[in-house]
Amino acid sequence: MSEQSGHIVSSFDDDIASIRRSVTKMATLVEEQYKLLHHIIDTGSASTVEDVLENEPKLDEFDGKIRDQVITFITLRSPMAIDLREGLTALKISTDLERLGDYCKNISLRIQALEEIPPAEIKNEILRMTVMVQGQLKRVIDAYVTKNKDKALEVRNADAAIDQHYQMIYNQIIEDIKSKPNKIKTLANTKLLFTIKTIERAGDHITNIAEEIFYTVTGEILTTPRPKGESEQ
Amino acid sequence: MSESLKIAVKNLNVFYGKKQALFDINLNIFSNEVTSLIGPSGCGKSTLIKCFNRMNDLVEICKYDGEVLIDGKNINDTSTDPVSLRTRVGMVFQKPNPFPKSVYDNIAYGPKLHGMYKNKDDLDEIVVSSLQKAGLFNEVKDRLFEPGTGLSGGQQQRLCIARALAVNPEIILMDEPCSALDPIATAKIEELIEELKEKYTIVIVTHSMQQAARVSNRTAYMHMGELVETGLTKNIFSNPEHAKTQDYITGRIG
Ligand SMILES: Nc1ncnc2c1ncn2[C@@H]1O[C@H](COP(=O)(O)OP(=O)(O)O)[C@@H](O)[C@H]1O
Ligand SMILES: [Mg+2]
Repeated sequence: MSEQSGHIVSSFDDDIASIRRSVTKMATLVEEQYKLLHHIIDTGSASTVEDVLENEPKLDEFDGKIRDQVITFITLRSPMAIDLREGLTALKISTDLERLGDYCKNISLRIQALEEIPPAEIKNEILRMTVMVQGQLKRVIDAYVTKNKDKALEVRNADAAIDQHYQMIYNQIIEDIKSKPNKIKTLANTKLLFTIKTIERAGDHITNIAEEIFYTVTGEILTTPRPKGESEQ
Repeated sequence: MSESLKIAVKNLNVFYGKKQALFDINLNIFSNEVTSLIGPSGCGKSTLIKCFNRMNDLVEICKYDGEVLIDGKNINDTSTDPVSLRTRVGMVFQKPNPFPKSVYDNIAYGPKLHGMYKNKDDLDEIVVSSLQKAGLFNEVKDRLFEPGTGLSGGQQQRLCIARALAVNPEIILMDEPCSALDPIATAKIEELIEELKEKYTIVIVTHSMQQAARVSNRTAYMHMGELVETGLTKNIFSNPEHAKTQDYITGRIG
């Protein structure tokens, strides 16, 4: 039932379209934030951290705007079935997007506060993990825009790879700490551990969004467990 | 609460002359539940509920085949008397239609017709308790001998419900009972429906999706004389199985 015909009252369609536009714009801004984050991890650029901080309040604005739009929509239209799910899902997705934005800010600040530049092999792996999150974000936005449940499922399944990558870098950092017992090094590495954990959590929020999309389109809540990458740390 | 079958409709086809109004309807209606029938105008909702008390017998060109069982017994058997059937299966219409008589006589009419009381006290008792069950007694207790037609629209509708209750029915059919009422009068009827389902089986035809969602346990969606989908109300309105149902409840087809 993914191909829906329009409502008899066409302004009903306009309301839904405008909620979806807000969600898509907010998601695109989050995508932009993760692009900036990649640059920050790569170069340590202070001005890029500024950019991230400047964008952050816009995400809160989107979150508030979407809440207002959805409340108005529910109050005035009394939506049913797929229309109601559309409204409720927009609320949940914007919460996940807001979190994703928050994480981006936290990581940027943490990277900026690093005591020393991480070893190249660790930095490269963190960059790779960030790219994976960026890819997931791009695909989940695509699934939302096209209302495609299969694409949403693909995103959900792909999160396990981020988990695995997290586990791999985690071990690498622990080895680094063990090999060079030095206070500064340990401080920096601890921040990196937090950083990769946060990136891994970002992946989980993208998975939430994928599940929300699946629910909107099908009306079914996914009950099968999420595919997991190895052990949880 | 285990569900018990009250009305079973089996392979019912109904015709008005050459025009077929219902096509092979199969539907179960359970005791002490509210079942709502929804669907576009002309889809056959009224025709269907009129089959539950043989009101269609009064329409000469109306013919049918198939079965309607109440408590397992075919109501179209020659052994079923339509008049006593209609005391078991009461009906409330879209427009309140009190008789041009006093409030008291409106209620007393049925019990008198069917000789359902022993003496005057007994009849008084039936009138009072019916008005109480319909949530109307306190509003009209000082006007029992004034014309029923002088009550407000919502009161008249509850009077008609009281009138139906007076003959001790098992099933109450309501055909768009609130479509002529304001939101407060509507809320009172809905509250009443909630109370009545403890004792009665209720079938309601409504054009308001919100009303169906608020009052009924089960919902049946009809389209052009066919029963498209039936199920628990919460499922029908949150995630219907059929695209036609979804299109209707979300306002995509008229
Ligand atoms: N007494 C009648 N004579 C001829 N046709 C009728 C009669 N009553 C209803 N119909 C036709 O049967 C169909 C179903 O009508 P009805 O049961 O009143 O639908 P609904 O209650 O869903 O609006 C309609 O096409 C209507 O025109
Ligand atoms: Mg009708």
